Amino acid sequence: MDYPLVAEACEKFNIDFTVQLVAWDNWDDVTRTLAATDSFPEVIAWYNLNYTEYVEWAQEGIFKAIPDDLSAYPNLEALTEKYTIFDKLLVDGNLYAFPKIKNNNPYNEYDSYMFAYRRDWANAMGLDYAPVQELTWDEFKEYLRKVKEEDPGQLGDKLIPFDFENGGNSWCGFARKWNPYISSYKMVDGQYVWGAPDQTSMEAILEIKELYDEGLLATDSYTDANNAGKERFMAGRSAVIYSNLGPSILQDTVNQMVSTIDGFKEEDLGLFTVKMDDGKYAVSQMDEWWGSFAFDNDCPDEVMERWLAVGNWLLEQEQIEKYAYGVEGEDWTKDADGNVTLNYTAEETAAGGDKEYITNQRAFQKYFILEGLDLFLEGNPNASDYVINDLFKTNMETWEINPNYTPSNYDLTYFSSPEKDAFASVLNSTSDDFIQAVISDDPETVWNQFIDENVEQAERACEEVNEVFGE
Amino acid sequence: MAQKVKKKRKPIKVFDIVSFCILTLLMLIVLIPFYLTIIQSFMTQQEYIMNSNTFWPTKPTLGNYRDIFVGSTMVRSFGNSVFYTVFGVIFSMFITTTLAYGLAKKGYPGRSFFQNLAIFTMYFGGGLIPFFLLVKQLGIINTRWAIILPSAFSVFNMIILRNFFEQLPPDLEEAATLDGAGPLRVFWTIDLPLVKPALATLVLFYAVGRWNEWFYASLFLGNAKLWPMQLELRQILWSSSEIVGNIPPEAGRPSFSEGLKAAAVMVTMLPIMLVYPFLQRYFVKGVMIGAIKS
Repeated sequence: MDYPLVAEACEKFNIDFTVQLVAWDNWDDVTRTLAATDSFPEVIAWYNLNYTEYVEWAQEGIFKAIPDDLSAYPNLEALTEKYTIFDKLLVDGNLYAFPKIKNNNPYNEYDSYMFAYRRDWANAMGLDYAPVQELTWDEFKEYLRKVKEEDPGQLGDKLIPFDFENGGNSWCGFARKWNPYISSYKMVDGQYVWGAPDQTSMEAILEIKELYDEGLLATDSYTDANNAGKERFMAGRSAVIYSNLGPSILQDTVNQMVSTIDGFKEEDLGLFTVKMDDGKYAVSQMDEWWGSFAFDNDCPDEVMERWLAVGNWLLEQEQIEKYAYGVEGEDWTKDADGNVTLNYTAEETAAGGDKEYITNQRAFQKYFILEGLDLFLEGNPNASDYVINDLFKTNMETWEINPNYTPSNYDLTYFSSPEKDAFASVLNSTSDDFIQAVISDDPETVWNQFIDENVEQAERACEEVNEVFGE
Repeated sequence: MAQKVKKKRKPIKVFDIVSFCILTLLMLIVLIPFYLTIIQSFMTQQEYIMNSNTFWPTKPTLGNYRDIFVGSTMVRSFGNSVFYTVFGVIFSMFITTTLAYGLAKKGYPGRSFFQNLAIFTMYFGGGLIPFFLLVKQLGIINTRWAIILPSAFSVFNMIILRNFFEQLPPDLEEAATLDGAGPLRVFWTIDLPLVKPALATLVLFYAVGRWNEWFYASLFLGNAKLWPMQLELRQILWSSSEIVGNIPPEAGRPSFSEGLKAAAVMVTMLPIMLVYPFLQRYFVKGVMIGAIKS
């Protein structure tokens, strides 16, 4: 990593390192082999941490515990105090992996799955919608029908009124607006029960089926993967998308649409806040983290100390600015009012450009925090006031007025027992059966069959869960 | 007067028509996805999404190929793959031909012991962890040898070649020896040229295997600078959105992840496909020779 920010870190902390990459698609095979053969490098950046394995390996002594006292690294310590996940990763009182925090939403604890809509199309239909437009669920459906009828983008049979980022594979996640526990466990009278059989699941199926049968969703989208739905929206085929739109993703989405769709301006994108039938906004707690970094048991103390010091340093305002803009004085300048001027074009920061290190060195920062740190810098010319404040912040503030909030249940998620672990495969396959139910002519039969086939296994899993967490 | 003999045309049977239809269908099943991948690699995201069923892009672009070569490490990994294929095949052919030649000689001391030792490994393996430990203890993890050495030898290929050597008439060797040729000269100038079809076949087997190799690379090579193209391709298939993400939309060259994948598939597939026509005649002949014994 021969980038200015990395070079400065190496010089300042007297470190040198080489990155040993693990290919993404056989990550588990390789990491398990490295663990079994005691071949991990000193510092491990662990993508998609598997909690059960993490606990097992920590207990087997594969990792070195991170010191309890992080006061020498105040920025890291502040993260441990702010996010609840740190407590959940303690094994026998020790932290063995430092979770990489997602900085998706600095305003509240809500996740950032939102409805984005083509505001220019709404205007073309004579609707004077606000950047963040409040609608009820019924009004939302009426809007989709109006889009289909009037075809404001003149796309003919290419028009998709409503899309999900991963098509049908996002439907089950969307169903959490009716049943937040559809693929997990729900507390009823002090006891955990399987969430899927709740009648709200069928309500969700019927609502989505209604959209599907009316042609408001893309016909074959139940096979979508790799953000195919999001790509359709960004290419200008869909009127509304339901997708993860954290600030940096939202900013990228707007930028992409401006460059792809002729005549599209950033104000042509808006957000819908949709109240469900109870008059509330169904929101969940955002995932706080994804991946982590850890230390091999053979890692010398001084290596660990220096790496933690680098992490702490990277979270300082000055370093975040370097991460965002490049080398101060050469790549950017800041005036007395705090306004930043960039001395390069976006093309130069693209792959192959003279300043591509500005893009590439972000990978180094991502060892500690995943994204979004730079978007909230004062005077950041890369962040649009419209996107960050008028859209994202307003959306979050609107939800705060009347939320139907579902917090994460880390205790239950990370609890491991034989039947519960075995039942995880059923929970993970809920989405497939949900899709089958939506596209079938007889959704109730299909869904009830799924429930009947798995209810006994669910009861066994719930027994184990209730032994620990039941009241 | 010379009479023109008319060649009688074979009557077309129902079976021929059915065979033709089935084979045409099979051919289309193979060719259409291949063709669609080719045109997808030349499409923009806008066109793909608006008109994904097209059989010809209205505005063909080389942008996907540009983003692969400029935005990732495909050029480097292409060079690595060529290196692993060329030197790997040379090394593999050296140890396969020398062992097969030795084992084909009736008087070779310990012949059946070495033969059984090789065959034993076809049926029994230590598993992934011992294999990894072996490579680690050899000290070749994160070196090019980790790709060339562990998969250098195929018992199956050696047995095929041994059978070819065994079919050579011993009189040839005797005659050469009487003319003063030593064992190496007999091997190099007499026997080896006679099994050229088999050698070409094995070169193809080894080359395709080497070119397609990704698993050992993912296991033994943490240093991405040494990755072969197949591993890079798998990475692209997984992380094309990451590559797209590294090209800021403001740069005015919107990238297209499905197009990147299609372009990456074409780039990895074409070189090895081009090898086939040159070796195919040997390949067919080689298979025939192995099938007939006199």
